[in-house]
This record gives sequence, C-alpha cells and structure tokens, in this order.
Amino acid sequence: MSLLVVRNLYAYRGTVLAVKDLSLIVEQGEIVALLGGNGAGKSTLLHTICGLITPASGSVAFGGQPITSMAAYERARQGLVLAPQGRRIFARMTVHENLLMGAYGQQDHRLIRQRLDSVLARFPRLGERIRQLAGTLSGGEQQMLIMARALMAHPRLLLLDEPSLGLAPGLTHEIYDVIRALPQEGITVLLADQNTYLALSVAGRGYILRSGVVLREGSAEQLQRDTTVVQAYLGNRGRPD
Amino acid sequence: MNDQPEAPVTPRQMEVDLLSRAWKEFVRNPLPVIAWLIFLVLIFLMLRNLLPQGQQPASYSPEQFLRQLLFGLAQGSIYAMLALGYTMVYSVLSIIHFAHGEVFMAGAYAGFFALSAAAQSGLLASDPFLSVLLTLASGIGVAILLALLMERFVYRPVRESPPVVSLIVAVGASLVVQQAFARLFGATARRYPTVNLLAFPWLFPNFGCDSTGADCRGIDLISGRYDVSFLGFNLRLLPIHAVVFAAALIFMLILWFYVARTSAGRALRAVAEDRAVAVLMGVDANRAIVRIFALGGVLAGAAGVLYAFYNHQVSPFVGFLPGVKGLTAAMLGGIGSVPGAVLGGLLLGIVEAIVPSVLGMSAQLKDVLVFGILVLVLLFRPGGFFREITAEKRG
Repeated sequence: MSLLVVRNLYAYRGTVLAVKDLSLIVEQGEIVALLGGNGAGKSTLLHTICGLITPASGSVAFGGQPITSMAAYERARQGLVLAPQGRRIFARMTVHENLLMGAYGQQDHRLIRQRLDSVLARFPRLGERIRQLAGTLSGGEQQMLIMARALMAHPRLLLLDEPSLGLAPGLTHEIYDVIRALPQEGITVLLADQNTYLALSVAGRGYILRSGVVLREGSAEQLQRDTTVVQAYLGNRGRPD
Repeated sequence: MNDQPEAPVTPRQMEVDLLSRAWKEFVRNPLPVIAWLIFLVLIFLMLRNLLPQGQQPASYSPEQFLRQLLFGLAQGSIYAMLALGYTMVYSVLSIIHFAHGEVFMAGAYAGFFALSAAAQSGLLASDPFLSVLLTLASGIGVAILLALLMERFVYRPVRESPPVVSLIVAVGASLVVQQAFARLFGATARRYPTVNLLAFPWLFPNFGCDSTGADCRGIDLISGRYDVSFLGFNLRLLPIHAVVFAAALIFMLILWFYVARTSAGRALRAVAEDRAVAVLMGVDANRAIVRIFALGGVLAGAAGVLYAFYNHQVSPFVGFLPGVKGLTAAMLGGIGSVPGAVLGGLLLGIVEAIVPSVLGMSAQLKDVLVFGILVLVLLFRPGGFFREITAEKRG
C-alpha cells in the first residue's frame, strides 16, 4: 500500500489552474523529487496535498485513507507535515518555542525532550541560539529551523518545499545530508527543489513538472541521464553547482 | 570689481527665507503646529493651577493628586483589561472587536442578577465573600458566552471579507445587544446591591468594630470609605480601588502565564503570527480563535463586575464608554501589543482622573480629553505611543 496516492488532481492557485490532472505516488521509505522551474506547480501541489489549498477535483489518500476533505491541521496530526518555502518561521518566538510548535499536540514530554535532543544534535547551530528570537537568525539558520521544526513532529511523510532556496552551498549540503538520512528513521520525503542535480542526488525517483502537468517520471538515474529533458525544461539549474 | 566681495546674504533676507519656508511647511501640513499650540496652552493652564498664586495656595493640591491617582489606577486597570481583549482579537484576526464593550456590559448585568439573588436569599449577608465570588463567576461566564456567540455568528461569517465589513457588522451587533438588554431588562440604570465585605481584621484591628467595640472584623473591601492621615496628607481611601487594581493584576498575570508559558498559549501566538503555518503544525485555527474570544470574555466580564462594584449601578448602555476607552487604550499602546494594552489602559485611566483638574477643567470634560488623545494618537503615532518601548523584534 502506497503511503501517498494523488489521483487526477486539479488545483487553483488564486485564479490560475496551477495543477492539472496530476497523479503521483509516494511509497513508504522513499525520497521522491518534484522537479520543475518556477510556476511548474510544485508548491501548489504540496499545498494541496497538505490541505492548505482545496483541490478543484481529484483525490488525495494518505496511508490508505482518503484525506481529500480532511482539514489541514488534522492532516498534520496524522503525520503529513509540510516544511514551507521561504522564511516562514515564527519570528516573535524563540528558537526553542518554534521547535516546540513543531511537536504541537504531542503530550508526552519525554518524547518531546528526546526529539529536541536529536534535532539539536543534527543542527547544532540552532542549539547555540535556542533562547534567541527566531526573527534574529540568519537566513540559513531560519531554513534549518524550518526543517528542524518539521522534524519535531516526526512526520510519516515530510513535504519539503525548496529547502535549499537562497542558501550558501555549504549550508545546502548540510541540509541535504540531513534529508538523505531521513528514510532510515521512518520518515518518507517528497522533495520539491529547483536544484535538479541536488534533488536527484538524494532521491530514488522523481517527477518533472511543467505548467502543472507531469512531463516525465522515473528513477533518479533515468532522469539524470535524460539530459535533454533536463536541459530543455529546467535550463541551467540542471547542472551541478 | 574683484575686490568687491559677493553680495552677502543679509540676516534680514535669511529671516524672510526661513519665514516663507516655515509658512509653506505650515500650509502643507498644519497639524504639528496646531498640536504644539494646544500643548503650550495645556502647559500654561497646568502651571497656573499647580503654582501658588500670591498669597493663595495652588488650586490643585497634592492630596487631590494622590486621591485621583488611586482612582485613576482602578479605572485604568478596567481599561487595561478591556484593551487586552481588543488587542488579542486584533493580533489574530486584524479586526476591531467593536462589540467588546457589550461583552463587558453583559458581564456587569449577569453580576447584578447573581448579586441580587444572593442578597435576596440571604447569602450576601451570611457569606459575602462567596457571594462576591459567585457574582464574579457569573459575570465572567455570561461574558464568555456572549463573546463566543459573537465570534460564531458575527465575526466568523465575515472573516474572509475586508476588515471594514467586520467593523460595520460589529457596530451592528453592539447595537443589537444593547437594545436587546434594554428591552429585556429595562433601559433604566439599576442599583447594584450594597456589599459589605469585611476582611483582614489582623491588618486593620481598629476597623469594622461593632457597637461594643469588642468584635472587630477589619475593613470593608467593597463599600468602605475611610479618612486616613498618611505622611501629613489627609486622604479618603476606598479599598475597592485597590481591590480592582489587584484583581486586574491577578487576571492579567494569569493571562500572561497562559499565553507565554503554556502549549495552548504558544499555539495562540503561532496563529497570531502566521495562521497557515500554525495549521501546518497541527493547530486548529478555529479553536484558537474561539479561545482568544473566550479569554477576552473572561477579562471583560471580570472588568464589568469590578466596574459595577465601584460605580454601584448597571444599565444596558454602561458598556459603551468603557468599551471605546478600552479601544483607545489599545490604540495608545499600539494595537496588537499586549504590554502596550496594559500600559495604555493604566495611563489612560490615570490621565483621565488627574489631568482635567490639573488643567482646571470640569471633570465632565474628561471624555473630551480621552477622545482628544485618541485623535492625536491616530494622527501622530498610529503605531501606538510606546512603540519604541514595547516593540517586539521582527524578522
């Protein structure tokens, strides 16, 4: 049984039909890449999967259970968590409070403590700034905080929206090292990134989106080999940094 | 003609230049000048009242000041409690909860019925402390109920509309509630039953004694008024003012603890900052909004009962002025800021109590003063008076 099944999904972003008849499957334990340039519909797709956007038609199932009409906060509680694009941290809360928000709804204080320790072990720089207001962090640190906050929920499926956007190469690699290790802990990942090369370096499979439809799907090797597709539709971003 | 220096700008010319520039500036934006003129007139009036004139002592005495300061603190803590309601709703929904004064009024009314029932059943005489608690509890309960009804049937249906829609709808709701109360319970003001709550006999051994002088039960916290000599000042003290101030402090501390230190309060702050992301963390935003209104109801209901305790009466229209002044206080502190609401409320209460008599104005002009302040704040500091002090760091 697939962890996430998206069938014939149509979704609007504002007044624009940004996702058209899109079907996609994510299996338990995979890392799946969503590729495509600006406006390809990656973000709209992720927002629709996690419930922030109501689809015009089509269905979403998570863990074998239809969730198309489930409220977004319920989906989050079921373990379907989006780490959003941009610097969407709670700027007026401390780093610690941001992380605790990630584990919202979890009553077991020992478990929260454990997750906090393991997340801070992975992002030691956040540990150094634990009492600081999140708004005072640097851009890279805020991106780490978004990842760390999502991991505090220990999601069954983590949706990552552009985790490397605007980051220095060193930081990008640090974050991708964390992503690569997630399946071993039981966290399945659906990863949207404009940086095709990086995304395919951690993913097993991928989908290439263009104007809201799936242009290509296949294993990471296939997609990487298919340089014509990569270059034709993804431009310079297909090349390694 | 090289030895001739260039025609220097005469001081006279510079003056004219400066004057014409100042005049242009004044025509472009006359507000600052007008504000300064008003300010200077006020300073003049204040000095005239504060300084002794010839042989006569100043018309404003330090005793007056102390008495008004205490009253102002009590009144200000009522405003602060109301301002917190406005500011919390604003920070989550970006709307002005204009019907908040009606929540306050409903609390005062519910307290009136509870207290009257206690007076009739004899509970008030036998156990005044329990009666006061019951009064407070029913005021808070009814206020929460009304606040939640408003959230569900007034604000939620227009939540996605522009803010001006919810403002108009809120004004309508406010009128509906006022008129409903007037039709149901009569439009005339009703007297709050007199409560004699004697307490702290060990602190005040010479107060509240019976005719024999053997049994002393302390001071009357609610209805007492005492003439006290303190450091050479002759003061008339009303313990109720201190009670209101202390009660408001306790309520605000509980609120602070809830919002700053509990997981549910953290969720409220998350919703206030970024509703979509809070939802992604599993927070039910609707429930958070309901909680915000309930918290506002707790504070407004308690404030309504406390206010009625020292004003001794309640009417369907008693919520309007305190409500608008609570909003003014929230604006004064910068709407959306919790410390700003508390500071703004206390400041407004104190200013309203002290400034009219310092300026030699009639106390009846205090509302003019308050709303004058509101206009000035909106004109010159729309972000609030304490913006620099209370501003939270933003990313």
